[in-house]
Amino acid sequence: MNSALPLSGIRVLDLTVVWAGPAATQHLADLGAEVIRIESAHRVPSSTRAQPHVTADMVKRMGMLSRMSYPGGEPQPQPYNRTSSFNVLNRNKLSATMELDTPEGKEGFRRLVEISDILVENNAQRIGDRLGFSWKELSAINPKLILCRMPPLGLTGPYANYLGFGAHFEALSGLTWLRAYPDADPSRTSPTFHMDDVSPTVAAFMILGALHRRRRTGEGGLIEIPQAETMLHQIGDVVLDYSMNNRTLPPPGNRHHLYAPQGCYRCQGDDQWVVLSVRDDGDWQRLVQAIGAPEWARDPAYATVNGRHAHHDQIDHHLNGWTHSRNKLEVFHLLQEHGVPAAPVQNEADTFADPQVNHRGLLRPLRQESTGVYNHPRQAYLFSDMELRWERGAPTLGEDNTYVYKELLGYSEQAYRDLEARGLIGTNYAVERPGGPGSAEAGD
Amino acid sequence: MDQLFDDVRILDLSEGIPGPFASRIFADYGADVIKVEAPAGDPARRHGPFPGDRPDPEASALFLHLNRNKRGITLDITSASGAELLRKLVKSADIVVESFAPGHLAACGLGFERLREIKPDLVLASLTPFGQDGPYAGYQGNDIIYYALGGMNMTGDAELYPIKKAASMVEHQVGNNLALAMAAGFMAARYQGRGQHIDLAAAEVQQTSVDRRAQLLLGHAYSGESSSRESLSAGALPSGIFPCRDGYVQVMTTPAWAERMARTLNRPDFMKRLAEPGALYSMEFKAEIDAVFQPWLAAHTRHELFQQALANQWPVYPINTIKDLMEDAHFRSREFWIEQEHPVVGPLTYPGPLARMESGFALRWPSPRLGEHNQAIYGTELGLSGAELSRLKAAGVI
Repeated sequence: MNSALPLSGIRVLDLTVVWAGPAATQHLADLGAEVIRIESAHRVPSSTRAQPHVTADMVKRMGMLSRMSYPGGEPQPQPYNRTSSFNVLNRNKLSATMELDTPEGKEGFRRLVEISDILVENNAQRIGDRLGFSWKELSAINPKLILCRMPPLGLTGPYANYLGFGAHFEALSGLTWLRAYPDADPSRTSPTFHMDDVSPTVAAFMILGALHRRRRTGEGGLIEIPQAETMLHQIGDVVLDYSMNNRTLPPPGNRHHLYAPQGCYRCQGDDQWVVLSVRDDGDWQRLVQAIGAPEWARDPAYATVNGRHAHHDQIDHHLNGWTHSRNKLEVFHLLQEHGVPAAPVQNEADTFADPQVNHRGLLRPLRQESTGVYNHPRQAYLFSDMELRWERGAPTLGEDNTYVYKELLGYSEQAYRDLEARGLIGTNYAVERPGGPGSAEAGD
Repeated sequence: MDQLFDDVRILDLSEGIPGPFASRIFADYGADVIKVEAPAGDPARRHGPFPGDRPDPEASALFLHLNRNKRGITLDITSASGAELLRKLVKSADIVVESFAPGHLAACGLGFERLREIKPDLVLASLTPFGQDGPYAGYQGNDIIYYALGGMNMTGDAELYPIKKAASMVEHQVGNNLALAMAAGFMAARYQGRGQHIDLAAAEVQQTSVDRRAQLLLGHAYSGESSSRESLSAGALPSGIFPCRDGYVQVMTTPAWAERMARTLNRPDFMKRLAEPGALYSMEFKAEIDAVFQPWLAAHTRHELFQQALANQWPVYPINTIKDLMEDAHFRSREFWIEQEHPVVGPLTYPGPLARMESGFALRWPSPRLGEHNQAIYGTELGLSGAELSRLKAAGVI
């Protein structure tokens, strides 16, 4: 089946960390490419895999995200092979360890670059340069290479060396401010990591475009994904408004400048909510009908969009009065059956129970070496005439060392054993250097 | 050098945000994108914001943002002669993208099987809120709807209500995912000769978001737990949004970054304290840090804090407004913002390339006016006579 996928026969070197980079190469692996993660067995990638010494007791004391990280809350002796955030973003990939700051590692890496089509990395510019990921160095080894670098703030400019997570770059880019509560202090909002969702799709898109051009011209090249700029396209209308009107509008919260009412309404039960969005007067009439045309809703002041904007607070008050004693799913179906956009605010358990999710097979069983079989989310896109790869769960550290060194690079048994004996290949974190070079230095 | 997709032609029948944004990304990288609007025009033309808040279908910020680098024609595909014209256009297209309700195109005589007879290696990309099939197939959606299904429950404060992301970022991300799917389908069609019908559900893009939802769905399978708006900043090290002299900053301090924090705050002794067991979750230690951290915040502006902390590689970032963003030295020095004259609105500042590659990106021209390229495409390319065009116009087809 793999030979029928558009990237079959394409080899990708994956030097990515944290979320955005691995998610980018996840698309390539699912589309048929051979993706080889090159990892260090000495530098602990605490934000990519996990700290090597997490215990079940520590997990209990850490936050919600940590509690949900390990099967049964058990990190076991090799937690870095068992975290949900790594395992969900690295299926169908291989893992080999290589120490890029040693002569032996540099030599192995050079030989891999010679026989690969694509290299992807998402470190801050400074780290990437130090590890030898510059276009100048790599194109000298393989001029047909497509090098995709994803520095959070680009390869140039005064902040090119600045690091952080998605939430930091949202702050810098105006997005955190734009999504603050309109009626509460900005510190009350919580971090989101939207950039980690944006960059992988654009990186994979650009890589496909570069491969298409290489088929025509024979030339590879450098792709720069300056992640914050990539994300800023998603507020292009806000940027144009600033350009046209030189203004900064206050954060709208859950409201919309056209659609009214739009918001999040409390339903029956603890922390249960439904959202709805009335796009035009027709939606409003259907909403009124759906909720039984109570007297307040027949107020002619509410019949027009301007009227509903002017009385948004009162409408919200009435709608909350109607929703608060109802089940969120009941409200969702009632409104949608009347053609009004609505949705329950869902947590993960809700998604697992969702009939549409189950009908469309959004969650599919997949076996991973260190954890066993669990349901993983598939890619959102579905094709009529090809089925994306769904073969092997995320690799454990160094799981494919033998294949990469012996089969791909042709190392002899003795040379391989020699590297192993000197600690230059491994399947465990041999030396712990949390906070040391390469650790948590991700751009994202 | 050639642009990445300059031998690709896309017919874009879609409305709203995701479809037009997806085809605009292709247009930015060289594709010939023909925007096919109903004669009344894409609703994005009525969406705004507008210059001076005066509605004008040629000046809507959303439309101008979503359709640069495209050509535009009008066509009523629900009429028999309109559908016939579209089938003619499909002969030279690589990708058709649409966002109608499931079954609508087929009802117009333009379903995938019919189009495939005309162009065997065609990619048809169909975007819907919930997908082509299933119990919710006809349900409606937009930005807040999709976010509710995959992340809103954990966005905001536990004491307040769940809150959405900024602007229409979720729908734009659906567009990014759609563009990637179109590119993958195109590669299969072009190099393996297999046309593809893409079924993309906007809700599923958010339900599998790498902004933690994908991770947490597997996390739920692993642990049985679900996320909430529980605070993430339970430890001693400062994480969160904090007020400072002239606004707010975003701070996150992982254990690996603690040393950089200690250096910035000029308190190397914090590192000894940190080495003690349990220090990461000690409330006394948190109070000790706060006694230095809070006065440091109060004494400095966002930009001063940002520069001081990043000099030590400790990520403390300003909460910027759009004005701050547009004036920021970094994006300006990279020439990210591009100014271009629009025939109706005048000079406009756009975001530049999403990604940079030699000869990859170009801002070639602004968004098309309604029906701007009818003559060029129907007349010059399809060879329709002036009389035929007038007849179609009179019949409301174009």
